[in-house]
Amino acid sequence: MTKHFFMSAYLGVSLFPVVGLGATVEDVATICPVVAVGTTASRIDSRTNVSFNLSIQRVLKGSAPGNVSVSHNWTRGGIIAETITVTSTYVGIWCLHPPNMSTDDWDAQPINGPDGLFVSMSWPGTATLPAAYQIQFVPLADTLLFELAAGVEAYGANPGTAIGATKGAQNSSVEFVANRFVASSNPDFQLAGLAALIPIQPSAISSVSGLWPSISSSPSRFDLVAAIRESFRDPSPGSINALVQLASLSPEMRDAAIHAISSIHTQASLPFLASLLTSSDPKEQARGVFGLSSFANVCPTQTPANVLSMAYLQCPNDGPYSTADTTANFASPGVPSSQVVSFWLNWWEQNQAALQQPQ
Amino acid sequence: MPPGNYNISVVVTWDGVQSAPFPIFINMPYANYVVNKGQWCSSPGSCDCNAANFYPGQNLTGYVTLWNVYTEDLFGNYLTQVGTNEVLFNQLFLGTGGWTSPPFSNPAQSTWATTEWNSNYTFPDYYWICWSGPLYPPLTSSGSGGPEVFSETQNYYIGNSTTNGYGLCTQANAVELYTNNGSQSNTQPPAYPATVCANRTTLNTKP
Repeated sequence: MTKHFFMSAYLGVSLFPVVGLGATVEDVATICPVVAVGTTASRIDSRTNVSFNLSIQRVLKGSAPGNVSVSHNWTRGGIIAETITVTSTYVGIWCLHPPNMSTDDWDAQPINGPDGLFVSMSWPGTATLPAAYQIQFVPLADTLLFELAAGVEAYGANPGTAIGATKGAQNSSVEFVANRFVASSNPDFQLAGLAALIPIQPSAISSVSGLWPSISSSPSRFDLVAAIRESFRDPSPGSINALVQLASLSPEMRDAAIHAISSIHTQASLPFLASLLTSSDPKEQARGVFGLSSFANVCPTQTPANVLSMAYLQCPNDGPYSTADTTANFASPGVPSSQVVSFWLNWWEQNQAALQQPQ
Repeated sequence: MPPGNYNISVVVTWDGVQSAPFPIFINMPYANYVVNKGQWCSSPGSCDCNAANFYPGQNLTGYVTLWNVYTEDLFGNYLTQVGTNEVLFNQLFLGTGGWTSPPFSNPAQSTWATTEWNSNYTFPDYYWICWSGPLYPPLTSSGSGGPEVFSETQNYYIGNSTTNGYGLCTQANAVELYTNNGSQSNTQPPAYPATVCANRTTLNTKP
């Protein structure tokens, strides 16, 4: 019998945010000493530094005076004149560090992209928070999500900025923001809202096919496709059926649906997974083998939380269909051998009658 | 598809009895893929150098091209919010018509910790030029088909380090800046970058 062992070599990939830059509301709430909504009217932007004055509207964490002078050393990206004074009013949500012994200036920490770009220095904000987002008695991470969502709406900015930052906020707050985005008339907001809803509100998957015609050519559709591929893990037969239907929408949606179904690998998913074994695409064959062998060997559902640890490959092998052969023919990376594919075709042939009984 | 070979085969001997071989496979970040989102706009109608928080109202000509990059492991899973950095080298300007260094400075290397990951799975790479002086061929806002004015070799490294050049190299390619857009080209097959990055192989040529 061959037993497979899988190890992760992510070269020190951390499960925790790196101090220095933060992308999620959880990161910003944790890492930043001071978080404030503030307006800048101009900045001096050079290859090695950017400096500007901030008029503070609201302090969300820590304390700050009404006006702060900010100086941030950077190595500027892109190609532009050496030093430029930019006069432009912008309201942002800023991650601020108070002055220290060596300077009277505050520093601002990039929270919205790589250092060296002013667009990375803050999230979009609003001088006055709309009433709909004035929700009190929630954790700071949730308040930050509401402020960010309001800023994104006010500027018509990329809604993926808010949706990509939801980690750490309560599901109820994410749902509130996502439902507002879904109700928008802007297809990019609709797809971003759906991308956020799908992992926490499985019924949202039924809205994807209806929305697809209006977003199938949007560059932002990847946000939704990726959310389905990597995060939608509802095991109900209805959700499996919805994913099977999505597989016919487009090649990229097919890839996402196949990845999701094989990651869930419940009994209801087996007929579809078995059909992948005869696909002409080796990647689809591989996911078919992965799903069937994960079911037979009682492996956990593959989720974003267990990808880095590879815990989804730690299988008890103690189910009614677990045998020495199902372990020996467990999925491996790469193109499955014809021997492995034949094994799972035969396995399905032998077990499908029992496995397709109503559950 | 990534290679299916195992990295290590372990045989255990206990009291002189040898076990069957245990094949051990080491998973790791394997490849980058790019979703080309093209012209960058902070909001509809506010694009390129005039986008909010770029250089609005400065009478600068030029473009901002955004490429979103995602990373898969050997099992084809997307990685989320992983520390990333890049190394840029063999940076070459056209050398005529003002496209020289100086007055231009070479684009700086970036690092991405847990920065802006759109819905968690991609990190943004901006290619941009904003300028007001005379140039030939002339710089314009975003478009296609313009002549190339700058090139460099770009290597992406995935890992937890924000020190440029540390981590696992998952993509090696050339960057080509044209008068109206920036793009990646000559991207090496996924299994190739470890060698090409270690050797600092140049993948670009002078425009």
